[in-house]
Amino acid sequence: MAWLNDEGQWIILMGFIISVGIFFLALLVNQSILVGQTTAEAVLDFPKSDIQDLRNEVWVIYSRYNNTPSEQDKVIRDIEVISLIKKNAVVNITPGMWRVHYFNGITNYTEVIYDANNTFFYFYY
Amino acid sequence: MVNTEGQLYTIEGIAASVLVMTTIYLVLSTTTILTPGETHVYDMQLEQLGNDILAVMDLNQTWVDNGYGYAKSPLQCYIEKDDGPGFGHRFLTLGKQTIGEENVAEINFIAIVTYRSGANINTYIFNSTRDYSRERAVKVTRWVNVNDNHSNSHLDNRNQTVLLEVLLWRG
Repeated sequence: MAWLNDEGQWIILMGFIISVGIFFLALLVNQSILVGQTTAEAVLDFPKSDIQDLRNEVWVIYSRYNNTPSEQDKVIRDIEVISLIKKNAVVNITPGMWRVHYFNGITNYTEVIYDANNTFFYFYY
Repeated sequence: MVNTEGQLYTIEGIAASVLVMTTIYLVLSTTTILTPGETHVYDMQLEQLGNDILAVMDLNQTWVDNGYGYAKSPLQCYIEKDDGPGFGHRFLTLGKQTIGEENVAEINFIAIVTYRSGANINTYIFNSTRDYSRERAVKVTRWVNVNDNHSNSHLDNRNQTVLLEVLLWRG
């Protein structure tokens, strides 16, 4: 058995404490970089632009075809069918009440854009 | 010959080497993991840029009624006239407006128009800069309402809404 020198034990102990501290700091740095990735992925997954565009298009349909219901129905059918095939999203537009429903399996969104029978709430536009 | 002296020194040496290797691994991994996190942020910015361009192109340039009861947006005019090259030129011009780097950015796209004809959904390529070969791309879309009095040979002669999809990538 080799003879052990028992001097400098405090120095060794401090060395251990500091190394453990650096180890945990490195773990924190490692995790913090992933935060930007998950945030960007969440933003990319959420169909913000799809919903904004759909609202805008419903306003366009309302302003152009409000007096011709037969044209209205055809254009709404265009949006509903193309959404289902190209965007994997169920879209339902109810004219008159102008209720918009959007569902792509994750995000579920419903809004009454303009209720023609109850215009009281829309004076501030 | 093998002797039994210095066993604790040997164990201490092995423990120290494990500690050093673990530290080196941690330090190296913290620097290399920067890259995958960044690319998603660039995708997000490119998608926002594309959506903003389409929104700008879908704004009416005038309030003057040109005989349809409403003013048309440039986007609607491009699709009604089936003017793919005109659309592509305008799209790229708007996409390369970064201050100090006008018309320098390498942005490529493929634009596709999807329309309904009876019970069928059809698609045709509106305009493109070059073929897509699996670069990191994002997709932006815009609904465009088209008047029945259009000159686009692909579409039916009726008032309708078509979907414009633009696949967008840098490089």
